Amino acid sequence: MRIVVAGGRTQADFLIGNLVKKKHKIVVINDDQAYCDYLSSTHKIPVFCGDPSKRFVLEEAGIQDFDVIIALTYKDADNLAICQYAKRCFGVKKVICIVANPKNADLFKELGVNTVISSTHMVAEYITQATSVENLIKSMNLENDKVTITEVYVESNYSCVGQTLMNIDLPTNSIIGCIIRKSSDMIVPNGNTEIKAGDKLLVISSPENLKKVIGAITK
Amino acid sequence: MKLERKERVIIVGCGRLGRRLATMLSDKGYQVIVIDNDETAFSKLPETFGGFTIKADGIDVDTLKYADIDEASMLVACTGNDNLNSLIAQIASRIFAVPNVYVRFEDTDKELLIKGFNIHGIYPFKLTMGVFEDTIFGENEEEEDL
Repeated sequence: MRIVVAGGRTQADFLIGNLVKKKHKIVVINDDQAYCDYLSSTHKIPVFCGDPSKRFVLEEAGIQDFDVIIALTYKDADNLAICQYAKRCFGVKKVICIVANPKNADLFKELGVNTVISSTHMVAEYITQATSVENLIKSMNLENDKVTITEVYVESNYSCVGQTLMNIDLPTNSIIGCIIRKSSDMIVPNGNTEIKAGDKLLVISSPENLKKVIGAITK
Repeated sequence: MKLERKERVIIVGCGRLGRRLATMLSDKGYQVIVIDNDETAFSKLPETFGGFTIKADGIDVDTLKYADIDEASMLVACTGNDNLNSLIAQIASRIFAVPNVYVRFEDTDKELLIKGFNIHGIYPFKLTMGVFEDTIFGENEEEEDL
């Protein structure tokens, strides 16, 4: 894919490294000359120096019809301008940005940004989960908290050990989507799959049902 | 302009333009709310100013809700930052459907961000160029698109 990374410091550096490894074609725009020099020499990719929220800078970078733009500046309003220029003037297919103010996450989606990432929101969610649910359980929310994926480690004293999936009473809007078992890579289970002690279950559910799901598995 | 008196006007940015506009509309009897992130900016409002002021660190959707934006008939975004002005104007027009939204842009390219929406752009650069063209070529010459 052809991807533009606009603005940002450490996040940009890390992200660019990952994307280059995956063989994507990357163009970088950054407003700090010294950081531009660093990025271009580290990653061997084209870097344009300038304010990415200016139309002529995006034009010079030649981003017409790119697949994705990721706006990582520290100013939310700048990120919105970058995404809107990319979409409206340069036909970029998917526009993604981060926001510092979590209140802007839903707002920016309404204003046309495809994906808005609020690290404040994610960290807050993660801390809330870490403090409310048992500490062995990892969980991740998707689609603005509509869906949650939870990893549950099956201890030998759980009642579900030895049961087939169809005999476990899960609440509505929840499913055990995947079992990770040491002896095999992963299992996409069906109703007849039996749960064993030591399994890791990946459960997909609504966040409201999370506690009930964990209750049904761990009781 | 079809504003009725006593209607609510929100002005974001209490610089020279925001201040003069706020004073003028308040004198004419509109209910004016001025928002700025710098409290000292309000001290330059004249003593006769009869409107409200809101100091907001980061101006966001909650600031505008606090100013009762859903009852406003007009909003003017005239902070010193084009991208922030664009964001505020789009919140007002596209989210809260404020009927009269004005936005000031130093960079004329920002017009592309509000094109197609019910938002009026004000461009000091274009206005200045207009004065030069009028002075140099006279008012009867054909106007060139900038």
